[in-house]
Amino acid sequence: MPLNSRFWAIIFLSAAFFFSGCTKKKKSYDFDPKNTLFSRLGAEPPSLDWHKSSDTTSAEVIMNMMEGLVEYNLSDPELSLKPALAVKWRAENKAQRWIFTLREGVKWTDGKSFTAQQVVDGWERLLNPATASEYAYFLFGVKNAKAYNSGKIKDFSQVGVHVNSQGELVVDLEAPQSYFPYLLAHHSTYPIRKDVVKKFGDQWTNPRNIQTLGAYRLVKWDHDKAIVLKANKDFYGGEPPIKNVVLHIVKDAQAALNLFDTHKIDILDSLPSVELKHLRKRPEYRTVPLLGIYYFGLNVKKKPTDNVLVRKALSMAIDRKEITDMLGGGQVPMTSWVPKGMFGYMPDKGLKFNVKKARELLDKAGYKDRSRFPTLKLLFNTNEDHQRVAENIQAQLKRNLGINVELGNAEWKVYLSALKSNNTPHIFRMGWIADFPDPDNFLNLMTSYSANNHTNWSNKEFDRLILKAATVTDKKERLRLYGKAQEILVEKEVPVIPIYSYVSTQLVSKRVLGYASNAMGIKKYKEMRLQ
Amino acid sequence: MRSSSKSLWIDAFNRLKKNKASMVSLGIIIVLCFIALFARQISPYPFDEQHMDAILQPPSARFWLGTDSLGRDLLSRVIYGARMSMAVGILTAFISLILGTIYGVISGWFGGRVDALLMRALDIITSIPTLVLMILVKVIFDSVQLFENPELRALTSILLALSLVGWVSLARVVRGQVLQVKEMTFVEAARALGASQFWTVIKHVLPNILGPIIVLLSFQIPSNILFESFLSFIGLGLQPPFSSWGVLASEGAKSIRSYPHVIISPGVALFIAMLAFQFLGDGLRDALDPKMKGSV
Repeated sequence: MPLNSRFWAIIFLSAAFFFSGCTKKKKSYDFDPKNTLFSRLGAEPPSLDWHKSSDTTSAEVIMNMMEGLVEYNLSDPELSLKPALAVKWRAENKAQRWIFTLREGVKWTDGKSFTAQQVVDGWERLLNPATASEYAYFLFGVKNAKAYNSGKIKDFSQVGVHVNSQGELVVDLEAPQSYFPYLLAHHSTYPIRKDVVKKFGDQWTNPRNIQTLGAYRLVKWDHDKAIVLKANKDFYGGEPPIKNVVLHIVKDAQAALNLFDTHKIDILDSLPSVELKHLRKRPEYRTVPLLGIYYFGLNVKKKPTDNVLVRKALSMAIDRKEITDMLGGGQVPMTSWVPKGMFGYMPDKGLKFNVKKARELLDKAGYKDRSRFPTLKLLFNTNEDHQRVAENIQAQLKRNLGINVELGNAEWKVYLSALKSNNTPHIFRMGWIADFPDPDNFLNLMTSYSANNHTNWSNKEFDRLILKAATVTDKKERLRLYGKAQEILVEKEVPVIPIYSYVSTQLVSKRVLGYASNAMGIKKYKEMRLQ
Repeated sequence: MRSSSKSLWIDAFNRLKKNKASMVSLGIIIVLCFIALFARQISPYPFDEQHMDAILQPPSARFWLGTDSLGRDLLSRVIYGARMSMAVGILTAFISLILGTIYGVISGWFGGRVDALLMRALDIITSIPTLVLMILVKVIFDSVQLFENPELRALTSILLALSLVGWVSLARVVRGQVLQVKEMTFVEAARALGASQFWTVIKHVLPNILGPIIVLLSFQIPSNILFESFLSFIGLGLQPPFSSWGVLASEGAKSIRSYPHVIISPGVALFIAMLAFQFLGDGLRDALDPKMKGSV
């Protein structure tokens, strides 16, 4: 081929590539910024199926396109409940039976009416062992729900939920549960369109297939790039003021910060800790305590963390304050399990930092000769702040105990599947943000039947305490039970090492109004306005 | 034979001496090697010691190059990074040298069908994009633990990944050189005098192709260092707390907005080392093969 024509061919091809890239980008996310809210997701949501997701990223999207029977009043610091799909509810028989009167005239995005049966369908799917939902235990307070979930009962009609002749939803519990309505603000108990799930199978959460009834509907899901939500004109609460929401999926915190600075996103949280010193001075900076804990789990089936003495030594050899000082966002160092700001927070519980004692314990465990102690593997999900914490812990364990820790990291999706596999590492990083403001949500996490317990640890006494505490209505007695349970968890058995109680650091653009930063980290776009 | 070969090397060295840039580079490389070998003794602090009272400090009298996001002294980390980066560069070059030479000599010396077969296999390896191959090898060898020493343990998979990619070009050059040399009269003479094939290759062929191999090696070392930095930068390289220049650059990039000093020092170190190796490589090529002067 003569040089000339080759030259033109190259020019033509590169131009074609160049312009094809341009037009595609423009079509996707170019909305009028006046009525579009831009926000950031820190990871690709693992699943938008509200029975299968268990992480905060997915929850943020789901909670804006769906509604539960009740929802939180976010402007109330106590996080009281307000009506959503249920207009009112009442307890009978000392809070053992709950009756919900449902809202009428609610339509799904395809025009079909919302019915009480769809709530029952949702619960059936959540509890169905075939769904393998991590949140199935949410409804274990419901009569026979646990038996149905474990396969002992095959017939769902025996589970304590039904629709009465007035069209009300009636829930019968195993035992009184004062916080039961709070569970219904969580996405795992949302109603579902059984027909849609059946028709599309795994693909039902595709923007083309999904049916929702919240303030926003999912119109686009460009994996690893962005999620686009559009206001739902038929929303029962009226069309929300912000018409479009674009959620950019940006893993890198620095890149996200750049996007905020160039006004490409309006709300940014989980700010990178290295930047806090400078960001703190900005008018857009906000900080709010979160009901959440940052902790490390230990695999109790793997040598040497199968030895309780080793686990205790590890927990005692980590100075939490050194970590929170390093992060500098106002996090509260913690050795107990229930986060600050929640009923049941007991800062005295847990193993305090004590190098001497930690060394003794490790000696006693048979590792007086430290060179015989195997190298521990510590895994965390890829994030620069988790890396900082992990590297600090690595150094602390080296300094205080003289043991070696190898670090590894993986993307969130891969990370979760690694934890669920049989090959869980010795130490893994985890966090838990409250699903509802009650200590049960945190202690339940470590029960033997919780799917979010990746430590392989199980303790009958602990399980019994948690089950019992959930049914006790006397506050003092509950506190006593939770105290005992925390002692088992963080003092006697130590399958987990709590590090700190979360604080959310945020940048919120001045043009966003009505965003109530709250202790559960919930963002409801329908309550926000743009200036 | 012996005296003539000696004068060849002396000749080459004299030519190299005239090239100022190369001599300066040689000096820099010797200093770098010295730093790498005695990293522990030279650095003011242990490379993984965290000073929690001094996080992300700018350069000061206490920390000459400042500290990183965990309060570690950057000067110590850069010095220690030199050890890891140089180790990767030199060790991988050495492993690929052995692999490539054996492969190339076999291919070139035996020729014919063996040559065709070996070279087609090489073509297949070359056709896989380097980065993909490297990442694949790295992932596979991640679980291989050959050493007890934590430094070597951390380096194992990256050494293997880089060497398995690096030997290919060496094998090509060696084969070409062997094909050329084996037709020469002194090889014929050695064979006629009854030298075995093995002996001929070791004693007569290899010394005569050493020049081009050395030149190629001097270019391969910096490219290995760069590849390691690159892999570390995208998170596939050394795992913390070990540092190479690439790891340091990757860490620095995370705080580049407010604390640019963290990325500057490893960047400058990498830049100087690259330049030095390039200039020395150039000089060596000119010195060992004056006819090739100017060509790549």
